[in-house]
Formats: sequence, structure tokens, C-alpha cells
Amino acid sequence: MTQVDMLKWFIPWEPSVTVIAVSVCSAALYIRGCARCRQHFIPKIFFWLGLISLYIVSQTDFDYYAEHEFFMHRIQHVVLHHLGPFLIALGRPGTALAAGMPAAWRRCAEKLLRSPPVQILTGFMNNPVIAVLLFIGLIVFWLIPPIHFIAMLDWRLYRLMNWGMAINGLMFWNLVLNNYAVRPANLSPACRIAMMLAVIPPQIVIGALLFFTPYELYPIYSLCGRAFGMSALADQQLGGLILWIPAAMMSVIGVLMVMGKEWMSRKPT
Amino acid sequence: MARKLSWLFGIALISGFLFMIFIGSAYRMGTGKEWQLMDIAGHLPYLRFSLVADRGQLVTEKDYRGDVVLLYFGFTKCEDECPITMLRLSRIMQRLGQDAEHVRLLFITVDPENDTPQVLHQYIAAFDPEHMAGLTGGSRDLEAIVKRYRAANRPEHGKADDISHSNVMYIFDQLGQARLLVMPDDSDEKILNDVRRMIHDAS
Repeated sequence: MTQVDMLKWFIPWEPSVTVIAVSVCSAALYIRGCARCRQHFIPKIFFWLGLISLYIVSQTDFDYYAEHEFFMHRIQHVVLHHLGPFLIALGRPGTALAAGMPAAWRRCAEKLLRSPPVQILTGFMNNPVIAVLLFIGLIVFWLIPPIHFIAMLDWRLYRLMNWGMAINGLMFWNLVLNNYAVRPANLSPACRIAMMLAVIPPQIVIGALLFFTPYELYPIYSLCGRAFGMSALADQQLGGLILWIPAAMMSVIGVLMVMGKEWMSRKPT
Repeated sequence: MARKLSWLFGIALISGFLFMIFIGSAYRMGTGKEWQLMDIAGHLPYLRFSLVADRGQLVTEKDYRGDVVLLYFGFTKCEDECPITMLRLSRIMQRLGQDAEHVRLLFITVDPENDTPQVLHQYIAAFDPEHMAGLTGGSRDLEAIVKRYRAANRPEHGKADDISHSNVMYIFDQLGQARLLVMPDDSDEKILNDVRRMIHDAS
């Protein structure tokens, strides 16, 4: 690959001003925040890896392949819904982001977060049962064949789908990986582990269903042209495997991390 | 209190969502006219392009306003889907008879390096030169329209002479709105029926 080709790879296939603005804004706020209140090295690395991975799958040439090969679309969603938000949640960037805001913004954000509608909404979303149902529900919803067809065709729905995945992923992993002292997100470690375990079986079932279905469920990829020219079934099976194994694996890693943290904090007593 | 409120809010949210789905489906049923091909009205953007036609002249979507447009992406060296689709299109145009005057076929190349206007001209001459136009253009202009309709346009990995391209026909109405998709296994009758209906709905 020549240098020009390498650069071309960074040109977004479908540029989205919103995604670029949000990414740049969070990066700027985080850098400012880190200068004001010191952050540890490892959470910083997690935050940056998470943010960069979200950006790469949505605003580079990767997006062309995600639109034209089902398994690439599944990889995109594993990053948007699992890996990227998981890493960002591990980085716990809330404090640094708040510290990075100008004082007026921070006051506005605090006011907004304390306002009754937002409180009620977060209280509802942070309910363990609702959070698990939403996490699985979103995966299932966008994989229903007629809905998937239209979502891959209509760019507005495509963006709605990808935004929904990323936001829901951030909410879920932030809730289960971190131990917040304040309501409404102060769930016990046991509850958080149970939540992560609860999302495993449905993902395995959906992944297995995709893998074992003997006919093409998502003709949109054949119709719009497949990027790698693999057969429709091979593509679908690979996509199923990605949901089946790596996506479900993220929960296992999360469970181990929460257990490890609990162990460490209990040892001295 | 806050807990109860949050549940109420949740229930309101879900019932609102279900209500919207209900209204949406009722509205669709109310219109009563189902197309035989896949109806995608509202999901793809208006026809818009600026390309070079096979006679060498610059064309835009405005040149085709007032006609039903059938659009297909392909390339002349393609050995499977493209010639099959082109043959099918010329067969359909013959069967349309007089109605064919109100239909235009656009073949947009995904291989501009090889498919010059001359090559395209020869290619479509084999099928239906009267109603068909072969379009090419600068790589930017071509990429813009390919992206607009979510089609693929890059060489397949591992195969030097094959370019991945969409295998679907897009049908636009007289105003340039994307209305229907033709799948490879849709019958000719379905296409004839819906194209005729679209022509007569407008007149």
C-alpha cells in the first residue's frame, strides 16, 4: 500500500458532522480535564483506546466494508456496542470530562443532570432488568430481517442504529463495570455480575441462530454488492460466530474484572 | 416516589412506541395500494447526479424528469448479472409497447477506467439503444451516486477482474423519487405491472 492509499483509508466513507464533532469535543474536554485534575495512566489509555476504536469503525473506510459485508457489520457493532464503550467505561472519564468543561458548561450540565426528567430517565434506564432488556433488545431489534434491510438502506436509520448501539453500550458497561457511590447507579457487585451473565445466553442464542440458519436472512448485502465476494451463507455464519463468541466474551472479561476488584478491596480486612 | 415515577415513565415510553407502530401500520394499510415490487418510498434520496452519457454529452437527473427511471449499476466486462439484467430490461421494454416511451433505463458503470462513453455506447447498442443510456463520469461523481444508493463499487478482494456491484434495480418515479426495488428473482410480470401503474398514476 502506498502512502496515499493509507491516507485515503482515513477519509470517512459517509462523513457525519455529528460523530466527528462529538469525538473531537470529548477528546478536547478530556485533554483539558486531565491537565486540571490528574488521571492515572491506565484509565487514560482505556479512554483513548475506546474513543479511537469508536471513531475508526464509524468514520473511516471501514464503514464501506461494514455496509457491504454482514460480518464486517457485526464487527462494527461489537466495537460500537461492546468493545469501545467497555474501554471508555473502564477509563471512568466522567470526572476528567467535567473538569475539562468551562465553568458555565459544567453548571449547565449539572443542572441538566439534576433536572427531574433526566433523573427519571436515568433512574429507569439504570434499573438492572431494564438495562439488560434494552441491551439485548437493541441487538435483536436491528437484526430482525425486514428492519435490518431498511436500516442498511436508509442512511438516517443506519445512523440512528449506530448511535443507539454506542449510547446503549456506554450506559450498560458504565453501569456494570463501575461502582458508583451515588444513586441511581449504586448497584451491588453481585447484581452487576448477574447483569453481565444475563446478557450472555441471548447473544449466544442469536449468534447460533444466525450460524445455523440454512438460508440467507439478510439479502440486502447481496443486493447492494458484497465487498469480499464471499458466499451469502459464509458471510452470515461468520457474522453469527462474531455475535456468538467475541460479543459474549466481553461479559466474561467484565465479570472477571469486577470480581478481581472486589477481591482486591476486601483483602485487607 | 421517584421509583414509581420512573416506572410510569417507562410504561408511557413503551406504550407510546407501540402506539406509533400501530398508527404507522394502520396508515400503510389505509392507502390500500400495495406495489408488487418492494416499496422503499421515503428510504432512499432523490435521484441526483451529474455524469457523462454514452454519446459524450453531460447529463443530470433533470434530463430524465417526467419519465420513470430504472437504474442499474454495473460494468461492461461483467459476465454474470449485468448482461442478464440488460437482456431482461430490453425484454421488458419490448413488452411495455407504447408505454416504453415514458421509461428510461440508466446503466451506470462502476468501472470508469474501462467503460468510456464509446465502450458504453457499443454495449447498450446490443440491448436497447433507444431507451437506454450508459453513464460514466469522474471518479468523484460516480462515487457520489454509488454512495447515495448504498451500492458497492470496488474490486472484489482476491479477484482482479471482478468488481463488486449491486444486483438490484432502483425504480424512480417521474419526480425523481426512489420508489421501488427490483430483486433479481422478481418476475417480469411484477416489473411490468408496477412500471405501468407508475406511468398511469402520473398521467
